[in-house]
Amino acid sequence: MSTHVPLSSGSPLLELAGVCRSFGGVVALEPTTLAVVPGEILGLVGENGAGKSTLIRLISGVLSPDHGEISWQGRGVELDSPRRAIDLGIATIHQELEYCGHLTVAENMLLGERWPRRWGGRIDWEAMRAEAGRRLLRAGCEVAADVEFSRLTAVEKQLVAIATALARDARLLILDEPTASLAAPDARRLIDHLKTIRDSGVAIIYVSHRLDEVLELSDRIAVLRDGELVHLAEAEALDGPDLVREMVGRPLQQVFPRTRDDSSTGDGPSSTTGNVLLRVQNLSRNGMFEGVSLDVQAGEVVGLAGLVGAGRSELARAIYGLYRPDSGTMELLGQPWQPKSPWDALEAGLVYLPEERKRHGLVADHDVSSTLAIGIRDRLTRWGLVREAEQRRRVTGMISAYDIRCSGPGQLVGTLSGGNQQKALLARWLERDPRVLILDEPTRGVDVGAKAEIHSVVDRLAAAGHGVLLISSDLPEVVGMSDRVLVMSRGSLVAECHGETQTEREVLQAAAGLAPVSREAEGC
Amino acid sequence: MRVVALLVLLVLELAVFASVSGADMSSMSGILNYLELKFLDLVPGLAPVLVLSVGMTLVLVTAGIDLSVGSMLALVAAVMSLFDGGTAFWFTAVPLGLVVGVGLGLFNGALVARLDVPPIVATLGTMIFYRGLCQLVMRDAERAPFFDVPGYEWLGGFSGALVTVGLVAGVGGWFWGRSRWRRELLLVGGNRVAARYAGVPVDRRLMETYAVMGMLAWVAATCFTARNGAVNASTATGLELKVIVAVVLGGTRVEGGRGSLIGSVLGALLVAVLDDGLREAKGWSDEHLPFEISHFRYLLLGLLLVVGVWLNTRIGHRDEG
Amino acid sequence: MLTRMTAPVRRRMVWLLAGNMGLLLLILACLLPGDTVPGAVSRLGTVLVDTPRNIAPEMLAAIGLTAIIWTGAIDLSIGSVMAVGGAVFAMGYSHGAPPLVCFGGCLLAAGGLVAGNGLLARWLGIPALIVTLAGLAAYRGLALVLVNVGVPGFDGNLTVPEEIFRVPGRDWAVWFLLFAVGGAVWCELFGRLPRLWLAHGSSPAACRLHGLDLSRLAVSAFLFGGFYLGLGATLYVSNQQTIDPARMALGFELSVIAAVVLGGTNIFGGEGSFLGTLLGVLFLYLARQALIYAFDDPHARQAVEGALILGVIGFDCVLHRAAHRMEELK
Repeated sequence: MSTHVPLSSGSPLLELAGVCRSFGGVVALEPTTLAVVPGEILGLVGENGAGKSTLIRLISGVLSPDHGEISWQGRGVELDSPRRAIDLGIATIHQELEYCGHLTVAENMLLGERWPRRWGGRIDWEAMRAEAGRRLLRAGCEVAADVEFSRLTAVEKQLVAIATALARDARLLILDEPTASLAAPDARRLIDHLKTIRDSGVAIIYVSHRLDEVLELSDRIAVLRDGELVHLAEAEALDGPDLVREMVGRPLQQVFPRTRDDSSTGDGPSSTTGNVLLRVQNLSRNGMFEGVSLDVQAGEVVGLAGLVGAGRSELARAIYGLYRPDSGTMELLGQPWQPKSPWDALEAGLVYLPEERKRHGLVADHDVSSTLAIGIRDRLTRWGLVREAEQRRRVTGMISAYDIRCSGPGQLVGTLSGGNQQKALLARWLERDPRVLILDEPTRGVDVGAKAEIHSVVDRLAAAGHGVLLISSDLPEVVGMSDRVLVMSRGSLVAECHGETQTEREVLQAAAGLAPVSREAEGC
Repeated sequence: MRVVALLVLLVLELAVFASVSGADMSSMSGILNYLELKFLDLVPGLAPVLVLSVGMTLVLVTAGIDLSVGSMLALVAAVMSLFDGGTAFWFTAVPLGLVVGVGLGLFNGALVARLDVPPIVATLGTMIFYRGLCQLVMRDAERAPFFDVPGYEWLGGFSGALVTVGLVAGVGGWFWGRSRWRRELLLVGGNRVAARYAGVPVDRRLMETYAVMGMLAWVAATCFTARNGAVNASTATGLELKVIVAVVLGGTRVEGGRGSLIGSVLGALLVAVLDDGLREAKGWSDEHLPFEISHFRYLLLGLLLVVGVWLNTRIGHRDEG
Repeated sequence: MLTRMTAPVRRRMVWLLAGNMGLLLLILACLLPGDTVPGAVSRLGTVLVDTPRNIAPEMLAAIGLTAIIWTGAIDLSIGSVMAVGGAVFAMGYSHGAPPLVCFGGCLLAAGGLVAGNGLLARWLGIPALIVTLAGLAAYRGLALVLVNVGVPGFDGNLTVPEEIFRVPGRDWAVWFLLFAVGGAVWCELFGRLPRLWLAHGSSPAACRLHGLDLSRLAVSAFLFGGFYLGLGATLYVSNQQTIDPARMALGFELSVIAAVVLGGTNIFGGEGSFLGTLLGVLFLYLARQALIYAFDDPHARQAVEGALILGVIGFDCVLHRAAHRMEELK
């Protein structure tokens, strides 16, 4: 579907014409036509997996399009490498910045350029610092140029990255979730900063999940859904609910399955004294989380929302036994819970599905069979030896039960799609039949179909009396799937939303460290 | 795939060295005769490398490396040589050797797993350190109590070596292939973080791996002393490289996460035949080459290592899918 | 320069300075029994007067290796590379070449091999660690082959009686040391390349984004390392009367790596200082001297030295351990 492109003014800086890209048969981006003009901020929104990152990677030269043309200032260009994009004036600032931590700010800013020298070819460090200082100042960024880069705060790193890009005549800035790990005041600082940059004639593509920011900042907003550009309009013509509707594209009830009986948990935690599977009290670990208390009951999905860096995963890892908390107590299935290692957790019936499956979960060149079998290795072994026939049987069973699409147990797991990898990781824990599951971003980078399957698995688990702690940055998911949502911000639990207060807005407000919207939530 | 390639290489190697050594190759019986003699001679000498390459495969699978195997072998042999020959040797020196071997392996493991020293640096250090201890134990002497031990010499013969190698490679390999331990090691080597998340006690597995390496160093030391009968401070220098080359040629990746015992055994055979062939070819080389062919061995080993690793990175992904 | 060093490196240098002082005092204490204080001090002076020529090869090699480690690579073959240098020198000498040609050959051979290691690792796309581990054996073999082929009537070692061949390594060692170390420190103070090596080791991805050519950076570090190592080999060869390629500089790589790590350079690259390396080499040398006074058993020396080096490296790794583990789990 092609969308009419309203141009605000002037000739476009960047134009995409019918650009598309797919990965191994899965379409990541349908043919897309889009233009960006100088001096505008184009907001780019969409659910996780809607194709935003593919689009960005195409523009920044990381990926090449399968079809379609990209033109820059009216001329067709081939963006075959990130370097090429940078040379043209397209600067991408990712959430995870690449920098040399042990070098100074000035050196990082001038890396790859000529450094000022004095007689005898000596580097003029003073001039370098002054030059870097000038660039920072011009970009309106107050950071000392001679400190070690790794000592900067997150927002300072972002600002320095922007200043570096601007100093190299960047005409188009792409910001990918720049405020994701920033506290509210820092995010404010960045947003104000971006407005001044826009006014100087630079175009900005701003990708964010924080819709309020996008609405405030953008001149136009593009909405992606399932790899398709479904909406493109002036920001003034839109409001939050419009955006959400466009992003989701279907009523919420259909998205999230719910076969459970709502009444048992619908009244909130106070009414249920029943079967508490996991209880955490006053758990703290220095620099990670502080005084966290929560319960997970049988048959309940507890959502744990919060921004990146709020300490959710850190909390989960402490419960799972990867490291010890400094203080506080835990109970699992009514017993005191002091895990020495994740193995204790697995034996006791607690599993943790980690956040980044490539880094924390998989070995890309191991086959599906061994990836699955490792989860139930203790049950497959007798006298230290694996029962091969039993393993084959169980693995085949898992592949069909969880609908892991692969050519067979021998396929390398790295060649599976993201969704099937995730299903494999989930399957190997579910095969243990755990009582409590902690799922950390279970649907990140997963295609729509797999996402729905994972959701229905979670629902079935809860219906069968398991306890699920669902950590997710996908707001509709965490709100729609959970019986109640706990919100973490900067290492502490700041709110508990259930019943009427269990809305995306409420959760987002709390996560961002703002006061709750409605009065009922204040009591939590 | 790789196994076939290794076998072809092995045959080629044997053919080349046979022709160089001037054996009778005109008839089938001549060839068989040559091979029989060759293997009767080769297997006992090969046993230490073979045994160690089994252990080295495990270490490489965990993305580690052990450069100290030569020094460990020497130190275990040195400690055992402090005892007098006689039947009592079996009950004193041999068990003590085992304790020493496992202890040295555990020390390596502790450096790698507990202190987080990169394996190559840690074991390069212990290679020097254990050799130093060896000098401390041996001084400038050479000791040879081994042939005075009843039954010990049998271990150094063809049948003894075959039994030892069979036990280590066969039974060990059978256990390795089917064990849960192996699955966990593969995970540790393939993705250490994922191993921790999957509840694998990573540090403990690493310690165990290096301890097994130490134990195998003890086995190799008994094979070695049973054949050579004597030990001194510079025994088995440079052995580690032979072992590593054997394992790498066998298709085990130095980055960890994958390894094949059969490959390693074939690799060890390949290296041993090469070694042996170069020694045999001494007469030929003295005529035709201006230098001693044994020096050429080091060059060849280095070359083989680079080529082996290069091939592994190149075809590793396609091999055995 | 101090402001551009990271805090751990600065701290390490302070520790090393204190440690070196402590070792000097220890040696002095060992000399004190049976002597007056001024007598012991003057004997300490005579002990120390040989320091430059004893330390020069290791110092130069360590500076060269520091640059290589900064980029995140390593060279394990430097002991064998020095042996090749020695072999080339021996070939030149036995054919009656003038000293300058012999030394030049030694420098070129050793330097070329190190640079070759860097090129080979880049070209084949396999870790420098493996290439140089292979080099550890192959170059030793090469050295042996070279002396056997190129030195008529070679029988294990070659004696060089002429004093002229010991001028650089013995008499001029101080000057070589001063110029080479001065040059390295000057580079660190005012040069761009050392900072780029550190950048390479710190984040190759960032370097690539900024348009730096990673291959050229890595190879330039190996070239620099090769030059210093070649110089070190030359000084090593010319500091002794006999050349024995089979045993020459055996195990050299480990003590050099230990000195570099001791000097605050991160073994995984990205962090460090030439000045720290200098102090690290000095510390190891003084520790070895102190050992000579403390243990008069020559058979114990290698064991004690090995233990010392392991201790130093182990201690360094333990310091990073907690942070490393946490980083890993993230």
